[in-house]
Amino acid sequence: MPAQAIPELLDIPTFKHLTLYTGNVMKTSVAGRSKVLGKKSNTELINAIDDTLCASLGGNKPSFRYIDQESLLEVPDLRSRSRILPEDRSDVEVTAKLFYLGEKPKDNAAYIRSSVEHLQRLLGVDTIDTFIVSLGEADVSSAWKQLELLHQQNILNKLGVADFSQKQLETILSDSSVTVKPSVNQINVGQCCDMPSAMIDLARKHHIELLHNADQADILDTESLSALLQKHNIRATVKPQFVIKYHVFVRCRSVVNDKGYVVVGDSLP
Amino acid sequence: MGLLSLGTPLHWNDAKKYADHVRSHGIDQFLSVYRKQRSRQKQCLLWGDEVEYVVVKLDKENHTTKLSLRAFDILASLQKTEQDYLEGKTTQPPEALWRPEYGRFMIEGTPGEPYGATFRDLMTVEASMKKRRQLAIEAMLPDEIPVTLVNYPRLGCPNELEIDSEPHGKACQSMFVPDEVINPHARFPTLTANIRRRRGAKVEINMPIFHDKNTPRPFIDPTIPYDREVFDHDKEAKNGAAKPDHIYMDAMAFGMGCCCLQITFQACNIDEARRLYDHLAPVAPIMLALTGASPIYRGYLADVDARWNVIASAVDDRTPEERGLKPLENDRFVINKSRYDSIDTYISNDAMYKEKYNDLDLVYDKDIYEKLRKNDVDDLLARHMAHLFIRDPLVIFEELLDQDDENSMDHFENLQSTNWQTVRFKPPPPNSDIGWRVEFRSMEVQLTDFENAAFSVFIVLLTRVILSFGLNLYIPITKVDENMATAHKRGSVLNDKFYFRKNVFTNNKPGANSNSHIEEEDEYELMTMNEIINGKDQGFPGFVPLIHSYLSSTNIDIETRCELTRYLSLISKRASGELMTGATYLRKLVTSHPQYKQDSVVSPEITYDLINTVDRIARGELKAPELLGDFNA
Repeated sequence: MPAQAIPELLDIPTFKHLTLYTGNVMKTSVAGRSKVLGKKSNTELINAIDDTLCASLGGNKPSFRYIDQESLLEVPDLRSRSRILPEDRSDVEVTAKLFYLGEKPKDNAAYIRSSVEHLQRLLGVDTIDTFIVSLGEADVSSAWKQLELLHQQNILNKLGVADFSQKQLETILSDSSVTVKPSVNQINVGQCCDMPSAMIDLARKHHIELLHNADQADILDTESLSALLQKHNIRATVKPQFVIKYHVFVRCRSVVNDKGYVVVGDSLP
Repeated sequence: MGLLSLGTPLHWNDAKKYADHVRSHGIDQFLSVYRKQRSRQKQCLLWGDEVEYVVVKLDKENHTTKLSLRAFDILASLQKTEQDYLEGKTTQPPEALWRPEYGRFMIEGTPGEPYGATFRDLMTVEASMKKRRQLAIEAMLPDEIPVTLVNYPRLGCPNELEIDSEPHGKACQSMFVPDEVINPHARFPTLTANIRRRRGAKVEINMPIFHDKNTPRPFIDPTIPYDREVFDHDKEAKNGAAKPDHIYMDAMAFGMGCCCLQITFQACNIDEARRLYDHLAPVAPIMLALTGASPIYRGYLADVDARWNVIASAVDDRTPEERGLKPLENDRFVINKSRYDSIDTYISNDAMYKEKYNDLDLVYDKDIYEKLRKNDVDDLLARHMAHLFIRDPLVIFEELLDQDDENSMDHFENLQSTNWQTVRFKPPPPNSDIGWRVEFRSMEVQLTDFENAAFSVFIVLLTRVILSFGLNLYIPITKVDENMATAHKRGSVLNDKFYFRKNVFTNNKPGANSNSHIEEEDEYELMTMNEIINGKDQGFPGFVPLIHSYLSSTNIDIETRCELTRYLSLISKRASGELMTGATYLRKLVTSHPQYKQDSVVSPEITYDLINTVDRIARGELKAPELLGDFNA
């Protein structure tokens, strides 16, 4: 954009809620460009949002959906289709990770239900193979109850947590009210110099997979999200409520077919 | 190497009469498999590695080494487990499969069963290789060792064989190596002799000598018996075949006696196989340079680090007409390359392929092309096959001339397996569950199992990265060929640049307009090895970072991830120069040896210390920090 031009604001109605889909970041070069070794980061998500805003709202014909009754603005990514064909469903593993952002939400369970619905629609699936929660400040037990319910309904298979310390793991494992134990704990071990042997033993004993975590827990904040929107000529301040990260893995070929994010936020007055 | 059928191989004078027969039926056999298997879908990733070893007799008392010619007997012992299993004598499948190779001093080992697709499978590769080395040692005499050196440094020098013979063999007719170095199975001496007969001369291999302080200029090799008159071909050396300032070699053994590291993997369908073939082709010269470990030939330090051109010359059966030295009279085509060389055409039909990448004027058999097209084979694949089939079959077994084309692939494999290329597109065998596969063939074998495992795992992960990110690595074929030449140069990893595509994420730019900027999108540039492997700022992210991104997009556990990071770190450090390549290390072992006279000569004493050292490194008895850093062999 030439420096002298006055940026035009996009002709978007005022909205209370925002849902943004990044599409398949494996194929848009965003995932390829994230330098991931070592510490946790959120660069991939930031680049993905930027990339989608550019692709969907840039150019001559911006694409978005505005649902009047809910004052909801939906920004899709039109470059890829994420629906999994029914005949391919058993070949792939669908993993979702829900990041709780901001202060404690009033209804923990609502975010989980909402994420599951988003993914069922987006990917065209009934079930999710692994569902991980990155809780932040949110309350474990009410979130976990909702996960167990969905597990009993055969909608979620493996349940997982992120960044749990050994103590937190021991607590949830010994909690008798927890009927479905976590099968996954995502942790980051940096440059692999210090492997947490006690946690590894604990995990092995309770059949918990310790998976690599490259994401920072506060993966998105109001400032970053709003800056991106402003960059693309949307004058709004949006506070992210939660982010869903998902990927689709073809099991017998070890190919990542799809990876993306769904960002859900509320506009601040 | 190739198939080992049984029977009487024909002399070239008779074999050439059946060339058309073999070619024609070979194409019919391909068409039969193509028809039956082209729609096969959803096959899983299965893959395997092939590691080759030279067998050396190491006499620690007298400080001497000899190349052991006992591979045939050693293999008989190694193959027993497989044989017992196939005959139903045991239910225990073999941990490794062993195959003979061209040299009677070589053995080849592969895993007992293919590896699967999981990351856990990747962690079993090193253990499998270590097990193979152990099995090989156990099958040998106490003073014999298997070494993963690309070549025995003094092959072709006098008194280097156990048991020694004069170089008076009728198959090679070499001035340096006797026929006894060739695997006794009928196929190999026949192949050797027929290449020579078809060519009308001995093969001519000349590698530039490394000029050290005391190396004469010009270097005229005093060890060549220029005036020998045992065979007619002996005069070729003094008549120009032996070039000044070069190391001259005159037999197939110098090339096919080299050891390499090959990876074969199964694609999910034919289109994926074709796509991976195309995108791995530009990777081949990169990996040749990075794995370079062959700086010594016939007892001299060369000015090259890699073996490829040696082998290309060692099996070059082209006549003078085919080489463009005489006008075409008896032969059909002028052919630009030896039948062992990098590929001449891309073959993938998908949207990323563009005609401009195939910028080599491809020589192919028009009749075979037409027949393939009539049978519903598309243009690119038809041209590829018709190009492979311009060659003559070199080894024909009289008893196997007539085959059932619906159930045999022998005639097809005759041509397919004697087109030795940087990547190979492998159709399924008949009557089998095995699918369409790609073989990656350019890598040199490394001194230790840790390195061989690291490079194998790296290639497999790279294929997953190409598929997951939809990478586009296309550059014009002629530029891939230029990279092959660069890859040979001494120290190319540190000193030279390679052509590489600038933008590997095509079709993906935000707001991409498919009509504008296409030429810009397809640009390539010269990049250093460090940039290709580790990335450049604001440019290509680098193969290792891409692999890390891919792994971070999966549910990989922390322990497996850390193990894989070790392998990736080795590759990364070789590319940055923090660790030496095998070639640089071997050079250093020679030039820093107290008996080295700075004259490029690698004497028997130096060879003994070199082999003893690399063996101790491979066993984990000796550390080699410049080569391996903190990594354990």
